[in-house]
Amino acid sequence: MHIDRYAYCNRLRRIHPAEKVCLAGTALLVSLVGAPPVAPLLVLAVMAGVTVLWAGIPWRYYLRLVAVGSGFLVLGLPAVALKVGPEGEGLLWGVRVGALFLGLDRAGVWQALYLLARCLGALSGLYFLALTTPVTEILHLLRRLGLPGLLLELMGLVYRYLFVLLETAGSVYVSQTARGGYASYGRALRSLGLLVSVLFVRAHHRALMLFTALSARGYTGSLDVVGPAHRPSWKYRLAVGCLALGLLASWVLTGGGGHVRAHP
Amino acid sequence: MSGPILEALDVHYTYPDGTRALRGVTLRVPEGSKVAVLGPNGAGKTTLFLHFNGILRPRSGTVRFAGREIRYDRRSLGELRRQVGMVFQDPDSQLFCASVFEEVSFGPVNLGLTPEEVRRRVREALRATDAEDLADRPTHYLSYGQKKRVCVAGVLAMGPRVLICDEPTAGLDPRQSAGLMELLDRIACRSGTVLIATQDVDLAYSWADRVVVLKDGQVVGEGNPTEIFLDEDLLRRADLAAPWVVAVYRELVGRGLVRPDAPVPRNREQLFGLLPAAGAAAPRSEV
Repeated sequence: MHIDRYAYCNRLRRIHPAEKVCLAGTALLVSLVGAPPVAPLLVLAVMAGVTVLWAGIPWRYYLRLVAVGSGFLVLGLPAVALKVGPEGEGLLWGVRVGALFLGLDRAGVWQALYLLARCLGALSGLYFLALTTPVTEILHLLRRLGLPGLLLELMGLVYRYLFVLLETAGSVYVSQTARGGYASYGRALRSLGLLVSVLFVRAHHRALMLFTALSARGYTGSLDVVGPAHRPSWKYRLAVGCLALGLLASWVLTGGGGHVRAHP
Repeated sequence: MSGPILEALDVHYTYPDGTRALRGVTLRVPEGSKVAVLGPNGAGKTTLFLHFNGILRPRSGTVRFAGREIRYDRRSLGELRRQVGMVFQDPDSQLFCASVFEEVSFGPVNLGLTPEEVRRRVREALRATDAEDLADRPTHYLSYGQKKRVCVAGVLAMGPRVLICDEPTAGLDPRQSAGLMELLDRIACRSGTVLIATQDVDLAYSWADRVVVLKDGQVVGEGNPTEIFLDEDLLRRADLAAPWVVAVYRELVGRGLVRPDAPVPRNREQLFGLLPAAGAAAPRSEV
């Protein structure tokens, strides 16, 4: 939930969301097609710098986020790096399992590391967007890009009421705990079951109330709203443009497509 | 004050579960007045308000706005809801949007205004409710009091002739309550009629210029605040306590400290003004 808080109060809040999406998109593109490991790692460095230094996200928090992302990646790497074959030659390390060898070879290790670099680079682009751009502005942008209104309305409502649901769940949980609802494993299971069923009932009730309240303001089937007008700032536009160009240049300078080196 | 802007004539309403919420309510809301509808939980206050906005339709009886009976086709309802704005008790069931600015823009957009006009109205409504600095904040990080203000702004932005607030001060601390009532006062001064539901007799007494007492779906009393709150019989029937200003005034008159023909005070200052000077009253200990 901290991500959401930072999205609303960071130093890049005033930048037009489209510009931020462009920068994040460029980072993603260069990470995915640039020559590994230089291009993706460069993207990681640049985007981390922008997020921490420019947007003002605390670096400890940023590191924790990157650690969470890397954790998932590292779990997936053995599947890429490990090789199974009938021969044990050329392996850096291997064990014999029946008639087969399970082991690591040079190409596999490099491939895994390249993959890690690419993913971290892409992740940094995504984190930049998530930490600097509120969901509401992204939704607004998607609307302008012509995504179906119904889909966006649902996304917006889910986002808004997620917080109400969490708050309700939190207060029910506290009141259950106060009466010993989670004192033992068995009681905890029972209480949790009750909590979930109560949430369903409350959510339904709230939906009815919301419909009434919306009708009172002239709701006739579509939740159209108007956002505040963004003033284009040439200073920001220039800065974002330079960053994006820099990233693209790093792709070209490191030799464009890196697939050749990834599979020697 | 002029003719009634809202009227309920012998309105009956029964909820689908069989609850008879309104049993022949007849009520007139004069244009430009500040009306407080008093009553305990379940008296029918919210149900009555939902009739004024056309959300509920009476089983029998009629509701009138500006002298004309409300019609329930889509276009007439749209027009009615533009003119009669309603602020609900629980802000979380009114605020559907994560952005405050977009939330307030919902009503004006439904009026079919241009985006520029919508933005102008949103800014104006936020200014009028002292919520300008909230425009960029997400709805889910607002305090309860701030959410209430945004709810009021969301309705004000539609430019209604009548503003209806269901329990506006419920859940607010005394300072927030005072602030919100002051806001409703300003709205009443500028754009006309304000109708609130409340259980707070002190609030109703000091703020309203007309009080309606509801009990079990019926109007048991209607009049100006002094009339209503000096009527002990009515208060007893409606399970209401007298406002503290009235209670103290009564006691003072009873003990002969205030002349019986003195005007009934409406607030603390007027009450204190009635108190006799130090020399005339009982001797004070510090002399």
